[in-house]
Amino acid sequence: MITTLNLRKAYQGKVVLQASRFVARQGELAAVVGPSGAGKSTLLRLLAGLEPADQGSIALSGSPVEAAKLRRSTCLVLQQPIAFRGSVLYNAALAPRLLGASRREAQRLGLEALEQVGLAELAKQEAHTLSGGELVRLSLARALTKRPEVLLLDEATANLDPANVAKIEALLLALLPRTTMVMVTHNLPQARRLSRTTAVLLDNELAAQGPTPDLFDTYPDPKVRAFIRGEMVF
Amino acid sequence: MEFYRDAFQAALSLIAALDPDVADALWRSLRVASLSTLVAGAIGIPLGGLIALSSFRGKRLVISIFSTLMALPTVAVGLLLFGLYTRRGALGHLGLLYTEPALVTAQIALSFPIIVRLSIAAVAAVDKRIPQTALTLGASRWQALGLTLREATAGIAVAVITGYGRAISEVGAAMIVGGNIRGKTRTLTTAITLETSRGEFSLALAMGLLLLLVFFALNVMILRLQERP
Repeated sequence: MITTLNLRKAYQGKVVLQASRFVARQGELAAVVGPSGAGKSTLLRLLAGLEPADQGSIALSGSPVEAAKLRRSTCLVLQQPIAFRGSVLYNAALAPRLLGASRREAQRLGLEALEQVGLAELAKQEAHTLSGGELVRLSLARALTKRPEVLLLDEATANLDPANVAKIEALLLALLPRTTMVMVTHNLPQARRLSRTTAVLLDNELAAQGPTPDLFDTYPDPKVRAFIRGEMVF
Repeated sequence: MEFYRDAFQAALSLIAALDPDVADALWRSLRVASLSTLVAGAIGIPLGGLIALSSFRGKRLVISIFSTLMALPTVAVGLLLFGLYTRRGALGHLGLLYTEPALVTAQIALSFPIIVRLSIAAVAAVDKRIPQTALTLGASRWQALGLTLREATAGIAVAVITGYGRAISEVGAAMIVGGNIRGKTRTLTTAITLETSRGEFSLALAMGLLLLLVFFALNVMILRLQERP
């Protein structure tokens, strides 16, 4: 479980995120939705420990943790993932290698993860030659080998065709019981399909978080409702 | 044209016969330039990477300083080091003046800013998602730097080649701190200067060609290594 308490981040005096209390429970997927520039990616970067918060704290399983611990315990899959120079297997085995596993063990874990995402047959191929969908799957495999407590997904299926979106979603659902996930998405139907809870960021502030069906169907706040219904003018 | 033809023929016969004095100067040139580039690269490449990946006050100033030092006059470096190494200088007690280590330090001073500045450029050109992805996969800051440098191999190879080129071709500092002593501190470039002053232009040019040929062979080797997966 990952939670935030009174999180605040500003760049050059401009507040880009205020999140009083955001929660992703153990083994659940929490969706984060909101218009562009609302602070969704900033929230993920803070949860990933890639940037420190100006105020507030982030807790893992109830204990407040520093950015370094967050970097060790989470893994962020970027909106447009990037491959390191080398083979698909080199990429898949990278996290265990960085964390001190032997080459043999790292390759075993990498191959296992590639099988999970359906890329095992491409293990020896140069990673730079992969298609967009394959690259997303590789980045998921790469993240899985780290065995993070919390998997953070920044619009992981944006720019993918429906067939690839379906593949990735099926993969995420298969992983869910064992992994806590936070997924930023612009795709509201996708948030509804996959998540147990949904958080809405509006004007750089966490405006709401609740069980996904409630939030989509009966949430009382007019601004949140307008965003969910697509009635908000930006 | 006759002048160039003679020089070219002299270069070929130099390579074929390899006069012991020329071989000694060539070997010293390679040894000193390789060692100085190795030291400058071992410090300069990670430093360049760190500067490129960090945000700090005065970063632009630091980069501008390294850019400026790329144009450091070799004679000025020679004089600065001469002041340090001369008997009454701060490092005079080390007895470095007119020795090979003095040549190495002079060449480090010349190639270091080039390697740092070009490494900064090479790492700055790497996609920002590379260090971010490395960190989120569990890399320490140093491991993330290493992975980013790995992605910048092509640019870093250029930094090393350019630094090596600066080191092996310089003559001003080598003359001042090395003294062009036969069998001790004479390099191919100081030998070229000597032959020129003696009026042996063809021989001087031939040695220049020899230096170019050796540098060409080294470049080919580095490019081959760089192309390996």
